Amino acid sequence: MTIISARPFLAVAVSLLAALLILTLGNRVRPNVREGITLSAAVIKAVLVFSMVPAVLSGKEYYFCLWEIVDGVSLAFRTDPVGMIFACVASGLWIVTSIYSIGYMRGHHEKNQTGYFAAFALCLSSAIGISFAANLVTFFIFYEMLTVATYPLVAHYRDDKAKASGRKYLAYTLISGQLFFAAIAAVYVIYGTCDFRAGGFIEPGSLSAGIMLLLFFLMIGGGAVKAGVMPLHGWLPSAMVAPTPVSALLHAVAVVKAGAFCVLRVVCYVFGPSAVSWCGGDKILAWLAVATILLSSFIAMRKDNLKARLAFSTVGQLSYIVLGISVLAPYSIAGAMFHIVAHAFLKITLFMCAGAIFVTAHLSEISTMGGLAKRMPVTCACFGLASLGIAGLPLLAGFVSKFNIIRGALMMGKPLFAAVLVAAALLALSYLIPVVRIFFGKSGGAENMASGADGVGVHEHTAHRDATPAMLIPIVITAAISLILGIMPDAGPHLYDLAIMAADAITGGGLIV
Amino acid sequence: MSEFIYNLETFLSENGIYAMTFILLGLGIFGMVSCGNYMKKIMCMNIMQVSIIFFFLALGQKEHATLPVIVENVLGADAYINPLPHALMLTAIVVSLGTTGVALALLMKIKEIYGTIEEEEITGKGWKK
Amino acid sequence: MSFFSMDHVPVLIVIIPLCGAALCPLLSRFGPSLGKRAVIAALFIAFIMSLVQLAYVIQSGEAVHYWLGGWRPPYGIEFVIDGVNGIIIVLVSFIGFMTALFSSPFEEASETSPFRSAGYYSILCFLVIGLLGLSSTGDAFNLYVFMEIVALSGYGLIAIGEEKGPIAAFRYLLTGTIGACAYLMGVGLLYSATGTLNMADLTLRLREVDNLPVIAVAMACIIVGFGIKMALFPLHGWQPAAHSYAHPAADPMIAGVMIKIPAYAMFRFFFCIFDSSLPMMKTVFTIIGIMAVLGILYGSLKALRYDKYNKILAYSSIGQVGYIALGFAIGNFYGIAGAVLHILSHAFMKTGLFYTSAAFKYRYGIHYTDQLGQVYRKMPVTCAALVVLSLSMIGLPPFAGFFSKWYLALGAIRNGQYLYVAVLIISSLLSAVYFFRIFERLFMDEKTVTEPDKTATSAVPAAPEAKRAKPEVPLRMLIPIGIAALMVIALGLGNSFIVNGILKTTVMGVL
Repeated sequence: MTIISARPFLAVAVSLLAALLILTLGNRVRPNVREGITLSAAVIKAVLVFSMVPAVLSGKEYYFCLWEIVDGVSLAFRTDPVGMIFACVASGLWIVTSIYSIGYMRGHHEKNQTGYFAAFALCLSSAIGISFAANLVTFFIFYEMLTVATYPLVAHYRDDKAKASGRKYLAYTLISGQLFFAAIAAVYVIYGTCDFRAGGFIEPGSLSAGIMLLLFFLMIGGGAVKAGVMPLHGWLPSAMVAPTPVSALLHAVAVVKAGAFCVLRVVCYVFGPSAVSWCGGDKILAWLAVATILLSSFIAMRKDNLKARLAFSTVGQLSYIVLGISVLAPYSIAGAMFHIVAHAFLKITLFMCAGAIFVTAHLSEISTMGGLAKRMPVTCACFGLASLGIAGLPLLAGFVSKFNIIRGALMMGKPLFAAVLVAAALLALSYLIPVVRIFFGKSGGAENMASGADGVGVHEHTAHRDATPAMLIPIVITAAISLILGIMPDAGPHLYDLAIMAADAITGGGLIV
Repeated sequence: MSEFIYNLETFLSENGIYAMTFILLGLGIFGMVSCGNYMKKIMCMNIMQVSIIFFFLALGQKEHATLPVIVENVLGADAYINPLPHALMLTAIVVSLGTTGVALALLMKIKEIYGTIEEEEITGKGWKK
Repeated sequence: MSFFSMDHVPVLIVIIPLCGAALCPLLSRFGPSLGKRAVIAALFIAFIMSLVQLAYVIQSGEAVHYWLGGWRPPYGIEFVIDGVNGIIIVLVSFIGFMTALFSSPFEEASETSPFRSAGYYSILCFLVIGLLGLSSTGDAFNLYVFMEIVALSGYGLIAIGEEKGPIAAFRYLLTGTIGACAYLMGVGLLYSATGTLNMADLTLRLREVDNLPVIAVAMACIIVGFGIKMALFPLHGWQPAAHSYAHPAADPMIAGVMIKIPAYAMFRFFFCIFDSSLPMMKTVFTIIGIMAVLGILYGSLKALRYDKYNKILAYSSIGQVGYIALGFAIGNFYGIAGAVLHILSHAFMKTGLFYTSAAFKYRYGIHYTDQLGQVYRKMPVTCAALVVLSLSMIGLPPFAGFFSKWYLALGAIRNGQYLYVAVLIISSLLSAVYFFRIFERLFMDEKTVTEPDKTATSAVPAAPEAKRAKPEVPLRMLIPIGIAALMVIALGLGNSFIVNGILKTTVMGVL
């Protein structure tokens, strides 16, 4: 069952090493070499992660224990199916975002690229660490590493706005992280273990319901902040000041997904569905998620800034995952896990499109983007495709996950949640499709386009060109993958199967016949 | 009344010296806190140190005992006063001498820099931020 | 171990630096850097010997007892080295050695005579000696003597610092003497109750004493004594000025180690000497806990108010010492493990941060954080170390500060003292505020530093090497900075080796 292998650790270490290399060599070598380090680390990491998929699919687990990190708890990595899903997404998308980042950062002549790429690598290292962590302490170590590594990315521009959003980000994540820390310590003292176990290790009734609810929410808080569940989402829109690849990373690959993943781990692998429903945490969480889904959609409609609209869309979509988890039905948990994948590909496509539009046409406000499709047909097409996916139309990845969540909700006899999800899909359509319509509509904002740019000369130069290949290729790849995943959810590394396996293990069977 | 005096007498004869040392200690600390002149502070510090020394020496005393020096033949341990506190206090005196020395050196330096050793004047000259 | 006799190692660790310190001014008459070399060599030997000694203690699994002059305890003075102070002695000698190395560019840069600079090394070495003795001695009065050696050399090092050094030193002297006297009074009371000064003997005899008021007063005196020495709130008054105006090169030692060793001594009194199962101890621990909690909050809040780098660090020390005291107040194994781990990790963190502070002063004469803008481009290694050390101070994993906090939290939760957990969290967040503010200044402020004006900026003029600007600061400074940062990482990742390998046997034996 368990294979002792250093591979999970190596997958974490390779980007850590890359980050160190970039930091130490970065300013001394040519940018191409520096980006070479990033790319090769990304490829090695992806190969390592994907090479573990077959064994995990066949029911085995890789396990690697480094040493005892604190008294009684080891720094250990385990590749269970759900960790595998997140790791596949993160490592796969790192390659894509790296290519895109290179295009974006150079196209935009950003400063401080060395620090940027180093922090990026560090983020990915933490993301993989989070996904493979075998216990809460290991998890928390990487979780806080992610917090710190993301900070320089959020505050990348180093002006007052960036500082403010960096502070906001830190305030949210550090406070929740510290509460998470206290909860981990308490769980360890009370239960004597920190190891994740499918179905959780906390027995219902082992504490009074109030205390358990408190512990649950202290822990969930850590995840909910990063996942942007509504009262705790404030940092996410303001983090939009960062460069677009960072937003893509924040929203699609590492940070918010780490938050959602944390919720998943806490609900399904620490407390377990039975303890959560015993203390009533699931209901509160589910209603918070419902409120977030609806509210964020309404806010998103009113945002004219493309990135801000996408940010609120992320807030809503992440709550799909949270809702799927808190429904506690096998199918909805599987759907939630798969939504990590689906949303990652869809949202990264959207963000990369937004970034490409910003770099190529220098536009950031939706109202100025009329007729953009004529100039950037491929980008706009991909944007449209991903928008439909976010709304959950069939044949796109978003459908698979939402369908499963709704199925789970119905099976658990919670039709209201199903209704909310359907309504949210319509809402998503209503805030994303207008954007696409503007893209493909008349070029009403032509004069705005001219004024929004650095000068006419730039426009002449870029007038008939889509984004540079370094940006365009990643966009096309992710859009294609989200299409493929919609048609064949099991394509490639069998992520859907993994989700079903994990949900099966958590809820104690019934899914795998 | 006579009983009170009796009690007082016993107290003074048994613990009076300790009471005195504690009063001395209190005076020393009070002086260190209340005096504005750094020189006086050093003096009060010395008073405080001396009170501790008294305290230790008083510990070593006992009635009907002699110096802990073997003159002719060894008497029982009961016949000598305890020499250990004295030995300790020799060290403590050296330490307090050293402290006083350093304090005086510092005071000279302070006088050099600030031109005064009055706390108020120095505080006025930007000691506090 | 056959080739190397363990017989005299415990005392040689103190004696060899003592010889170095005493010979240093003499030797400087024969060659300008001879005295310095003697001190550095002596400290290095002490460091190596302390490592050997620690290995021996761990290997044999029991404490080493050394009787000075062959006098048996309880009559003579005894050095007792168990796992805990074995490792603390390694820490002291290691940081002492590094600091002596670190100081040399400063002393070369200042235009004092070789004799005076030999005096500096000599005092620094005496500080190390005092700390070494303080941690190894098994005799309550001997501890007082070493404490005064530490204090006297500390006064010296603070006085030769920046402009306000003498007055900071003078105030410290007054307060420190009160502390020493309080401690001495406590020892006197214990002696009057038990008739012994040897710590092991005290432990036994105190169990038989039924005169609790005497013990209570003695304990109060000792708390005040150590509290002043370790700058425990509300007895910290001397500390911020002393730490911010001390000699910049010696400051790491003063701020990083000098206030930790009394904390260790406090541990010995509370858990080794006094019977920690006495009902009275509960009150004592509560009082210590309140002091710690208030100190943690006060230190963190005060640190927010200052722009001066050293002041921030000094106030943060008040908070961090509170962590250690908090561990004692928790009083179970995890609490003590956290406290001892924090003594070690905070020693490296604060020493390292003061190293960076000294490096900023040395290179650019920077005293205030708002002068730090973009310095990281000029001093990348120093600033990388600064980041690592600060993150550790905040208590973020995987650095050492997190793990001591982890043990403290475990201990507090096990005892049901949730207030302490809350305070730990709040203090972490507050320190995040002031350290990230430094980061913001360092990485995001537009202002770029100018090469220092040689005449004005600081008490420590810029060195001639700075002009050539090969490494950011001389390697003798850069290496200690780097080592401090690496040690913080190593201590963090390897904390369980210390906790399980060393503390468990020793501390469990005590409790």
